[in-house]
Amino acid sequence: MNRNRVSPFGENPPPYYSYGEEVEKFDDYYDDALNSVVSGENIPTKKNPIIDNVNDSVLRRRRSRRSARKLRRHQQLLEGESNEPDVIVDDDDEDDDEDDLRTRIEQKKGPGHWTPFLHERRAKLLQKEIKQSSGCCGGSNTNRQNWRKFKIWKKEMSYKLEPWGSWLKNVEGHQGTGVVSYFVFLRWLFFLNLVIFILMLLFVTIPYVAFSNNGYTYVVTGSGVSGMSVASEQTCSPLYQVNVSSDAKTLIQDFLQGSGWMEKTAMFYGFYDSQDLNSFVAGHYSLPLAYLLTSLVILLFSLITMARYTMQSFRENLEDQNEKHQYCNRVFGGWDFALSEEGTAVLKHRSLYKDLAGELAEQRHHEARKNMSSNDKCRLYTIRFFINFMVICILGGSGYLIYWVTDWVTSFLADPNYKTNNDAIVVLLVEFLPSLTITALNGIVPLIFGIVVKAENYTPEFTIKITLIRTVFLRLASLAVLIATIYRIVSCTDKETTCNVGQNACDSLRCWETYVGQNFFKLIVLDFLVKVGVTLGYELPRKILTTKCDAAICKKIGLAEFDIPKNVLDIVYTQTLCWLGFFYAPLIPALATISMFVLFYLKYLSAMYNTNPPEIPYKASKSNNFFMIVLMIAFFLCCLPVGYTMVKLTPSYGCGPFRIYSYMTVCVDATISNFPSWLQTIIGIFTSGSFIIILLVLLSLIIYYTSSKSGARAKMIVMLKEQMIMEGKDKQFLLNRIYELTGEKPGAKKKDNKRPPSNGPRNGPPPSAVKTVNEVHQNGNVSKDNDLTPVDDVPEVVPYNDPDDSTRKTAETAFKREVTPVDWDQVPGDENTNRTTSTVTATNVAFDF
Amino acid sequence: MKYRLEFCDVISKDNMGGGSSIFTKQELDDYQELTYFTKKEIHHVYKRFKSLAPNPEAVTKATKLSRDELYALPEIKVNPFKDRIVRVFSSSGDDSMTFEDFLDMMSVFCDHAPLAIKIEYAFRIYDFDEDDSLGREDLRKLIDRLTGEMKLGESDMEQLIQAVIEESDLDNDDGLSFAEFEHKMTKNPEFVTSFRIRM
Repeated sequence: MNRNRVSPFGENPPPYYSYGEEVEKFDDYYDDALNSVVSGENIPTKKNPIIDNVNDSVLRRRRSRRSARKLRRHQQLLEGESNEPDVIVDDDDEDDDEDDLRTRIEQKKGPGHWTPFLHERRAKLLQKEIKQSSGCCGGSNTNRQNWRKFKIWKKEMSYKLEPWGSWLKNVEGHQGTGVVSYFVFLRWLFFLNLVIFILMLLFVTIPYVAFSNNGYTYVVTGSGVSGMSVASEQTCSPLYQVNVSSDAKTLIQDFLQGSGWMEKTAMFYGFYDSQDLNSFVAGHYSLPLAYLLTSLVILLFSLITMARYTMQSFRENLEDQNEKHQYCNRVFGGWDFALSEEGTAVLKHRSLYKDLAGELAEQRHHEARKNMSSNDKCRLYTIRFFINFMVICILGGSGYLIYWVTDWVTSFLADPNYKTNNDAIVVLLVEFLPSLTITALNGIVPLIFGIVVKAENYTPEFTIKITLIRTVFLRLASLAVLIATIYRIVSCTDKETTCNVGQNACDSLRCWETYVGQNFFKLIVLDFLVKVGVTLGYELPRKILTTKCDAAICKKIGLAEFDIPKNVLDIVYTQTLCWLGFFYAPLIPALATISMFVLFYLKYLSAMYNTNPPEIPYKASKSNNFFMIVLMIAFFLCCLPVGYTMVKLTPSYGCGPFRIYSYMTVCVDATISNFPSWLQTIIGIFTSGSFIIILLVLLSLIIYYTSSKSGARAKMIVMLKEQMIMEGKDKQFLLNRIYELTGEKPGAKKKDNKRPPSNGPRNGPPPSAVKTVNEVHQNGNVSKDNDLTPVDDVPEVVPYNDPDDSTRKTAETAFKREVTPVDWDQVPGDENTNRTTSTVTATNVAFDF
Repeated sequence: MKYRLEFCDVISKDNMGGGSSIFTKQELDDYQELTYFTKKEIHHVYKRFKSLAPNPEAVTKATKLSRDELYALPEIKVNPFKDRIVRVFSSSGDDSMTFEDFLDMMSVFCDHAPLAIKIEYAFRIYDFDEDDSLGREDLRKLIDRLTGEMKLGESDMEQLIQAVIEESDLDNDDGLSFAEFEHKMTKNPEFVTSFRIRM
């Protein structure tokens, strides 16, 4: 193997003899085109380098006898260093052959451009290092080394900090990447909740517990702020009492439903006070302001992290909706290289087979379906209509059930003597009834959806989608109904004037925010218990049944499948509860964090031992987008009630950090009123209506600008794609020309499917038929070809651009797509040309083409 | 479980400073530079390499593992393209691997390898006849191996191959060149997640 770049011409190779250049240029051209597709820049104005160079590249290129494997050794050290033109030619490469042009031009990375083996890269690296160390610039070198060390350190740290890495690996080996994406999502949500919890803890709970309070100073009351009254607080706060029972059973019950002793803990809104706290920093800490701002920051933080997480993969999917990839993706990305279990591999084979066969059958039946008789069509649409109607009815019925149950429970609990009149278990059940109803509906209704969708005769992919959409709808709708019911109770108008507590027909809630918090608290607790229950009480027995029992019926039951969509929706639901509840129960994020943490191990158990991988191949990236969109929708659904509470609802006078304000946002006014007047003026300007309108107009202009830009880019993509296809045709045409002139059949490749293995050029002209430039020069034997301009004198160096080159012009015209004068299939002369004339023709091409 | 234990082993060794006894510092630095692994992971790869040999104690960096020994790696064992993987990464071309080849392979399959590298090696793995183009025969073999014991019917197979070529072949040469393959794979969000072996 020779690394000295020796050309057969000796020490000074002729300037045109450049082995890698045309490929390099082609690379650049391709790169530019592809990059501009991605970045949306202008179409590269460069000429097509293939066409420019084909004349001086075609015959000067040396066909290598080296096999593809051997060729690799001559390549650039690392990927990314390819811009350094490699003019490496072996000594042992005699002048007798020519490079396999077709192969090299066709590929962005020809066989010679494969990444070399590690030990070869290392040898090159060592060489480079020796060169560098003998060089002058020691100072920058150490700097660079330090930087490199730092980067490596950073990399190592980031690997180290990746939690559950080996767990994920195990799951991946057992279940495949689809299931792992669920675990990654779960881990991501765990961290999101952890951050939310820490924010709440740091800025709300700890200050309130740790700092002594200064009472209602100017920091919280402000100066001259309307909608603020300390007096009603002082009468109402003592009225808010909680019965704390000493009975152990009731204590546990209270723990589960967030009532009794739990109600007055840091868990709930009612625990906090609106007083000014004596912090270390300035001696003042306005808890209401901190509470409000922390909540807003949490919402904003969630939104930003979600957007970042979604956009990463979303962009990829958006980029290319029009193009079809379904088969390519299935075939080339089908196997999961991470699988390491034999059983899973068998399942994967089966799943791939089913997927491919199903898709093909689907494609075939698609046509048939199009031509369905109007009778059948009519029947199908009727069925679909009825089923959709049924689904809406089920959703509506579920909604009404939740509404009715919540309403009934509230009126049941409104009776002051309900605890004494009823058994403790009954009370617990009633307390949990709305949550139970929602959880039960979430469990049962999707099963019904799964059954009815079969009658609708959709495509398999769409079946999954529509079932999911219906399920999501159910989940969100049930929460929406719950919120609406709570809202009705909270905003009940018949209230006494002093403490704003409901009377007569309205339920008397001394601290309605805590009541809301309790509802979500119960939902989260129940949701968690159900998940634990399903894993331990359903999947585990099924596993035991399958493995321990030998009866045929047991075998038939088999293991449960790891249902990714359902599981993901489950955790999205938990997250929704967390977002809804954190404002009313600041420590709910802690519960969600714990829930996610435990769930990780539970699901790990279930994925590793209790379930089989899903049979339907799960497209992680696409579905992840779908789940993130669901999460986003859920998020905005959560923002609505929380935002409404902050701005429009009157807080309870007897509890919570906003008890002295008529609206929660008044605390911001109070804080602003303490600012110096110039700052107040500035804030006044920025929050005035006229400023907001200007801002909105500006934003819509930006949106308009970006959307029109993206539209233009979409057009550009289409154009570039067409251009790429045209180029492929150009190439085809030129190659055909070459083969025609060198005497080989251009169509040979297509007819001959069984190509020779790699040790040898695949389809070039035979070595004997082609002479090198040197030989040609010596011979000086030039003949005419009716297509080409005759050249009398043989130039030493062929000009880079031959202005009289008719072929090139034709090709360029085609390239510009003004006209398409070339009939691609009709390349003349392949039959007539024979081996004896080919030598002459070759020389001709060398000068004229 | 086994791998986790090994990993701990490596950590403890690394912490004691004994980890560098296998490699010189220069070697480690070079490997780190040339692969997508950290030092610790390189040690881990070495452990795995050693564990594949019939006699792990006698393994050195220069030891060549034969094809059958390499097949003992669980991810390779169940992989339908195992012969191709072993072939592509074997620098001697005889399906055996030295440690450097093995490291190279694991580096390509690791999480942190860029998409471009993965695409390149995927192309070479799928190119059964090594003619630098994925022709119909290559696709046929590829699909056959994907579906395992169940084989697609002849008409299904033809239809599928035709569909794949129609989707991806830009220049009508009845096969996928590397550029076409790369173009398709960069648009395939699944590929980067499926073409990997976690360390």
